[in-house]
Amino acid sequence: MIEFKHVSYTYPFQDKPAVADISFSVSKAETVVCTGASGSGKSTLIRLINGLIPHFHKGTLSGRVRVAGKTTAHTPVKALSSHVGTMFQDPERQFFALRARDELKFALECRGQSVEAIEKITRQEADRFGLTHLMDNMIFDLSQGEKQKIALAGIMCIAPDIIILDEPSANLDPQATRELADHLMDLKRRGITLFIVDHRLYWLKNLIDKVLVLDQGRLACQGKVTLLEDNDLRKKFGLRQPVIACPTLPAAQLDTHPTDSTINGFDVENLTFGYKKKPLLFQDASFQLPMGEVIAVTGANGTGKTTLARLLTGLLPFKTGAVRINGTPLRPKDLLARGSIVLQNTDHQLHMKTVDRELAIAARNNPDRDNAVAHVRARFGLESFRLRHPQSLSGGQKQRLVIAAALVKAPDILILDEPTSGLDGTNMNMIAQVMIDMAQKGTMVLVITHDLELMGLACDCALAMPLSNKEKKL
Amino acid sequence: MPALSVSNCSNLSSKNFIDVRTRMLICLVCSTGIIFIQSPPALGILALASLVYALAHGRIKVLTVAWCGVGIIFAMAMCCIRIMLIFWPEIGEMGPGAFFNPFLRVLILVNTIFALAVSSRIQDLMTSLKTLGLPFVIYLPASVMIRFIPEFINDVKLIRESMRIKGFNPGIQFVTLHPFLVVRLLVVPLTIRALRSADTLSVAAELKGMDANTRMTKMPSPKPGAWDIIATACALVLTFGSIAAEKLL
Repeated sequence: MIEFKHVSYTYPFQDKPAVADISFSVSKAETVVCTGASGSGKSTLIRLINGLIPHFHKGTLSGRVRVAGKTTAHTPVKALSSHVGTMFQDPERQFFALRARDELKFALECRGQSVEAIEKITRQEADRFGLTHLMDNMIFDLSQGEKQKIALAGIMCIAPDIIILDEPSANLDPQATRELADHLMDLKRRGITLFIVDHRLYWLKNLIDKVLVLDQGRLACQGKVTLLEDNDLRKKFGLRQPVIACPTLPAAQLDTHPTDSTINGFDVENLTFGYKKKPLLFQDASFQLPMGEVIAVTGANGTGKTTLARLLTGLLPFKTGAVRINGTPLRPKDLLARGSIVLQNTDHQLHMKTVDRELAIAARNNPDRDNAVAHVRARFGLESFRLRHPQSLSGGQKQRLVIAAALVKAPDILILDEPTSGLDGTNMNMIAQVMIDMAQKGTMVLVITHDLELMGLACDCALAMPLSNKEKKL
Repeated sequence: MPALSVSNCSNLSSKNFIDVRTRMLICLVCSTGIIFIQSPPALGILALASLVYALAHGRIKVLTVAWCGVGIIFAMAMCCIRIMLIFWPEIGEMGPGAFFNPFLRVLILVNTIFALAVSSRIQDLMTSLKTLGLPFVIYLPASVMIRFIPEFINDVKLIRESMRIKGFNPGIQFVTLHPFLVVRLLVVPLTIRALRSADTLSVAAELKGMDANTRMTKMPSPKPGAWDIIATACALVLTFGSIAAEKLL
């Protein structure tokens, strides 16, 4: 179904090939997982399969790629798109419509199918993916898992032979990840060939027929799933664990109520907040969190994790409520000065011309600015990118930079929102270690995450959302 | 999905007696008509009719803000002309009358666009575009432009949040005192986000098999109702009646 023969490809204006001498084949209904460190060439491999290389991305291609019996170099992307469907890491970015029903119909309408056929196929696929009740919903109102189902159903409307999935689990909670695995298993049974690129591997173990490990643009090894059990191999290529035990973390709340300044804790009292014209997310919630620990904030999408993070850093004002650190009351303005938050999308958080300027502007209120900047630069491996434009860095490098910029403020509270989504094992371990070190210095580190591996590595306790009665009223 | 400017759907239904396509058509007719209409009385009648049409959609506070905005712009224009006259008297004296026609034209546009904006959800606009049977090369960019309005608003919100995290207060005072820094902090990431979105979407279009030769299925569209016919007829009669009256009288 997919065949690579000595394929090498170099992007325009680059000296080094993105992939070199790649050869492998995938049979019909096989599920192949491609993994490897950030920048190892996984995305390039996807583009080679779906025909974006060489038709959309020019450059130098050698060797031969055959997909569904067609040589991609001689077949237009439009013709290949009937055989290959691609699901992006963030499916919302590939949607052309705003309503689920319209999105499912869109690709069929573009193919000039009859109105009756369009209605029949979309109804069928919506049923199959359990989307019937969501068909009139706006895509912005859907959870990440639901968006992925819409994207998959939209692809299946075209009835392709191959589906490529780019980091499908990166933004999913464990429950949605399990559901996705079930849907993929169903597709596999229907004879669809699946090519999955992901760093997180634990959820794929029952699906995988073959594993490809890429390293610096080369196919380092390929084989059965058992290949990933080799510790040395995982360490060498920066891979994640293939099996993860769900971590059981103690609840984060302190047992006592810190009413005086001698108690080391972060105290929230009678927090009430809700968005305009929406039901209240928090009503008179009171809880205490320990300083100097890494706290995982867990819970399904829509339970208010990111809103809580925004409230605790002063980005959103409370309707009512008070916050104290070690007994000292703080206003939202003080929270912003004493806290740092790293939001999910790094593109919004990088403003300056160079990496050095980005760090300097973040540290401008730190009295020990120069030392702090030099320290984080070395710690996050950013020395060689000092003069690079931040937006020109890779995803993993940008993530390291925004976390470094948060640290140079020397915050009392550090909040990280999904810091390891789409990161390889090496980068995840680095971020886990940074969180542990910050906590040891007395900072309260709150990490909103669905990453079970990160939780097991770095978190001391968990704050489960939505806030239960215990957290609301101690 | 956040509406373009409609607060919620229950509000929408009571004012949705005219179809989005009709409101789009009224905008088109009026904006074409005001190019040709020259006399202040004809423009005044059209402005009055458009005002009634705009007021019928409620949201009077928003409409007042829009008018105030137009008023301020024209007051500024008049002040600038006054200053210019001091240095270049050869321009010639211009009274408020010289500004009256452009002012009325802008007011007509504001009223009709206001009615379209406050009563249409983005999804309705996209659906209407689809049912108009436009060529794919026009439909796709137009619908993508509308599709990304909420995303653009969200990007601006997130970038402003990032500025606040870094200790900048992106208010009017900061914008006035540090315009270059604002460009760096706000406009640069926004531009990069827009470019990335465009790139991703063009890739998505390729992968969905779209190209310039794509012929879309024409989906069935609802027939225009009595109110649509009445509103369209009123707009046509008023606009083209004014043009005809001007030519004949």
